[in-house]
Amino acid sequence: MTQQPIIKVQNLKKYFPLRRGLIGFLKGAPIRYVKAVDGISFEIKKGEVFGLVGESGCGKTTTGRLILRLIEPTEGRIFYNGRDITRIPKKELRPLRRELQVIFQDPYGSLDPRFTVASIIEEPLIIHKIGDSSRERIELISKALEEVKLTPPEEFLWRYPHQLSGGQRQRVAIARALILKPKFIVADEPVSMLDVSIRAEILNLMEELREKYGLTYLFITHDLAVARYFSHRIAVMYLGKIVEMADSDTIVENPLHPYTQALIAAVPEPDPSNREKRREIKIKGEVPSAAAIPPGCRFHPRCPYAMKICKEKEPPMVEVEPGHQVACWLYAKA
Amino acid sequence: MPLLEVKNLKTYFYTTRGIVKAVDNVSFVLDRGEVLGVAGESGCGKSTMAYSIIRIVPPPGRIAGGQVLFDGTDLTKLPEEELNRKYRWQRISMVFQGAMNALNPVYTVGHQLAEPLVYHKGMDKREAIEYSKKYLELVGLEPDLVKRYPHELSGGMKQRVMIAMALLLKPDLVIADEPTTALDVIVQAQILNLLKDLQHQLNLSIILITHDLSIIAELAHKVAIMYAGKIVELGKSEQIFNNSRHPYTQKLLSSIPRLRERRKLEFIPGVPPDLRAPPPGCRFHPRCPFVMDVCRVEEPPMVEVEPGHQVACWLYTKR
Amino acid sequence: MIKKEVLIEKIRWFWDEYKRHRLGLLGLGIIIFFVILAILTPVLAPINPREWQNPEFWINNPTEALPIWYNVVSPTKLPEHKILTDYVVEKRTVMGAVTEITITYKFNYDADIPPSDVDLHLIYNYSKAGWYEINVIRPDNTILPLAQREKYEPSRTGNPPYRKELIIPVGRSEICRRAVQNWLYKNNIETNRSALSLMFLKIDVDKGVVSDETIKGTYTLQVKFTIFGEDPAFTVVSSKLVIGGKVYGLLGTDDHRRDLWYGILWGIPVALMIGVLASVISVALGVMYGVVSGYAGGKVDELMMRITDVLMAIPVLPILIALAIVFRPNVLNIIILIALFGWMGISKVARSMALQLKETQFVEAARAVGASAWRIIFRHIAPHILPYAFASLALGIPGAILTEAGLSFLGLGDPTLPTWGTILHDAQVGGAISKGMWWWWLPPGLLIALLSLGFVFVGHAIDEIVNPKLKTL
Repeated sequence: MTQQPIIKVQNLKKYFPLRRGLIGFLKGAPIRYVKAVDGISFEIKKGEVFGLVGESGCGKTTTGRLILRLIEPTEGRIFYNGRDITRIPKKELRPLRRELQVIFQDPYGSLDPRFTVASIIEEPLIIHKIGDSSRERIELISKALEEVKLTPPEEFLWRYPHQLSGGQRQRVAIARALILKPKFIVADEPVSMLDVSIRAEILNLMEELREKYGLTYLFITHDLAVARYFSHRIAVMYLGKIVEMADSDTIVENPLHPYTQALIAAVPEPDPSNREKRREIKIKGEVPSAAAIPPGCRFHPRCPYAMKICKEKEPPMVEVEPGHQVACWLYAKA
Repeated sequence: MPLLEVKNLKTYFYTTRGIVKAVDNVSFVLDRGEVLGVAGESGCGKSTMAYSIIRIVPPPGRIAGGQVLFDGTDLTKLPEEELNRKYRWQRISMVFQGAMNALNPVYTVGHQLAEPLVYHKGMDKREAIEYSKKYLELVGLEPDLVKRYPHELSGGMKQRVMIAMALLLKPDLVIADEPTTALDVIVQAQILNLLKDLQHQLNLSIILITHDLSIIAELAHKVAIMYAGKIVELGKSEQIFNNSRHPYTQKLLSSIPRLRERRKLEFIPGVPPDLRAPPPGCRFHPRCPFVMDVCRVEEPPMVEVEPGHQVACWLYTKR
Repeated sequence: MIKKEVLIEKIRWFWDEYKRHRLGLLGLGIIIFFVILAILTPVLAPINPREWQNPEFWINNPTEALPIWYNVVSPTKLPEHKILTDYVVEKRTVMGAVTEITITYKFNYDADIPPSDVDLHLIYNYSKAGWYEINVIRPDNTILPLAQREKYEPSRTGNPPYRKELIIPVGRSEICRRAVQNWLYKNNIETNRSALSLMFLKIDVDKGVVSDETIKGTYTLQVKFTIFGEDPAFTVVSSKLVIGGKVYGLLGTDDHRRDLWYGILWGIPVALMIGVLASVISVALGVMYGVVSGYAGGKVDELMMRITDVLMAIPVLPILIALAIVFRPNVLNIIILIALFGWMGISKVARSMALQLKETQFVEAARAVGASAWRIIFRHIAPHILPYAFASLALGIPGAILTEAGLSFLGLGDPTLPTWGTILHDAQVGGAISKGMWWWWLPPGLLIALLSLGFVFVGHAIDEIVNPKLKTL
């Protein structure tokens, strides 16, 4: 896994302007921005599962949408197989869509309720003019359904999403993403809306498909346990920035950033002996708004180890051991 | 006498397309100061079961049978007016699923906290707001928060307010329906710590309903596992987590990804049954790896496998 | 195949839901009733509706007559309208020198009051001079002259045979007045009753008193031509006798003798067409505009919405009035005008729905597979707005019908077609209310209300089904 990265992101930023009120407009107040993604850089190697973990509002989903060019970045660059795709025009984007695909979190929302399973999966084929006849396309769709273990396909082709269970819907969503034979898939919380008992089924299916087709995943999740189970490497995001990035085992066993440490400490476990002890959560308060990011290290108001420098300067990303990077003044020299 | 005894409770939804047996013959006992965790997948009837206890099942749902003995009184037989005056919120209160949205955005926190005090205790408004400040402190919030509006509060703070509201009238039993579901993991841990503290401090009885077994492990003394409207396994927390017997419980536990150990996750193939037409015999049999002939025809009875540990599975029952 | 079954299943589901809305069913019943009437209109009212404004067409009808069923409730029996075309022509030669030609009508009269008029129409050919007289032999055998020795002569132009058209409305004819006056004088009767009344009222000749009662029974009306010698050219071309009723047709007549039943009937298809077409156009326009605006977002959205704001701020009725004056008002123009000013509200709702829909994951998923903006708008967004569009379609129809009626009432409707609005307008101009002609304004008013109500009920029912938030369990 030492080849060229399939995805490379450099200093990516996405600011959403906030609407000014009439009074603000008349006063000529400056437009404020929600800094959803505020300068992140990482690489994803071919065949890898790269986990992006963080709490709600940290910018992980926005990152996924940026890479897919579903929204336009404010700043920074995105490379796909070494090619800069940050600003390529719409026309060239379409063939690219075949290679970059997405699986969404909500299997109830990501399938158009007015479409049958067949027409949901057929849509990418029509758009990309694959298959000459309807019969030929149905053939391809059936194969894709078999691939995601919705068998026999005839039983599912003409059903509507509301006639399927959550797990089955997510399989349909995977089939739709797979039918274009993509190389890279953004999986945005693909199992968080599913019942625990079938999560593993979907994750195992995704893993199987990855091995079979040499897929690469950007796996976005809020659940560290799932991230550890499924991904090779994990990046932890906080308020639009990556604070720590390492192998998934390293992140869990040797977290360095105070935020990662708190995140790991907070994860509950199915162990009844936990009942008698309180969980030690060292950090205070809650995540501030992305429209008012604190100066310096954005985590410093909540950090139990905050120093003077944390309030003034943003910590750089430093590699503390091979493949383990952290952005914290505890590990960097000013 | 136990605080709460639910006997053969049945709650059915009479829809135009058939009867949905959301809760079907559920029995359990809860003592004072005890926390019962009710776990199960979506649609297994756990929330309906909780709503049935204080009779707030939305129509077309109805309690179709059984008893809910609270301190010896059968709540299912009580007139609505008496239930309202003596029990709801007074002795049994609730923390709802997605409680963050349960606060009315146009009233201050104080106003909303005062409401049950004015209604049930006959306090005047100012007195009630003063009184509710103590409860904000109890849940770890600033008393000044009474003057704030809900949109000025974060999700975790709102959930604390909801907990304060549930405790205001000093209830014996709090039913918490997915109290941390929409919260981020750090806030969730803080709320769980709070619930732990309050439970010890006030010797509360809690029925904790959640799909997340890890959260139940953090709080519950007793655990009930529900599947398709029935309790399939019931026992002390240690018995369920360390020595589970029902194949469903076992599978469910081994499908939870663990942060601190890497192991292959299992899953339960298939989907839960349609509660309008559940399969005959044991409702889990179509998905069960140990299915036997008897499972397909006859419903397994609840049997005690060790003191305080009951299972409804033919693997542990002699015919 | 299976797709079709799914569609049937969906329709069945919708119908199951719809059946639970009582008012919705009532509204559907009302609409079906009107649609059936509209289909049957050419049979029930077999006229060309364009004749509505042609006074010639209605000339044989009584004017301002009550509906015929009014006799059921009326204490006095009102005369019905009769057109007699059965007559007998007899020819007689008197003493070999004089030819007498008699045209005889016989009719039964049983109403309590005299008719609104008696009209004699007679077209005959002749070549020589002569005279005619008209007599009525009443059931009490008194003979009342209506015309005495009225002479006619060969025309000074043209060649024989000459043609003459004789029109004698008894109530207004000077000839009749004179003849009756003479008779009254002869019989020493003093009265200021008209010839028409005297033709039907009881008269005590001995006492010289005229009562208010009519004589019921068979009347004979004779027109007698007297010619010296022979007139071989003399022929009766056509003749008819109209006994003008005070009740006529199912809904009476207006001051232009028009049968209101026909007008009301033809008003149904016209109202349905205007309502449905105007509503379809405005809903289609509004939905497309709103969806495009919402999906485009940003500055385009801002601009498009400001345009609708401006249009919404314009007071519609004055503008419609002004435009109706500028453009020749016909049904098509009116439909287009109503539609052009009726889509803004719908576009606002469609836009907000599109704004929500474009944030959904399935739209995002479609974008991720490379779907174009138009594909997303037509395949993923518009279909979701369809149920709402159907509801607003049903709710828009009464609005369009009312607007058309309003315009017509103001005299700005299509003058060539009978619409309920134009009938109301005519009633207003004709002083229907001051004359107490309730049968003129009440039916169109009620029908406008009823049809609108039907669509409103249906619209609300659909709205409740497709908008689960409005549902009450």
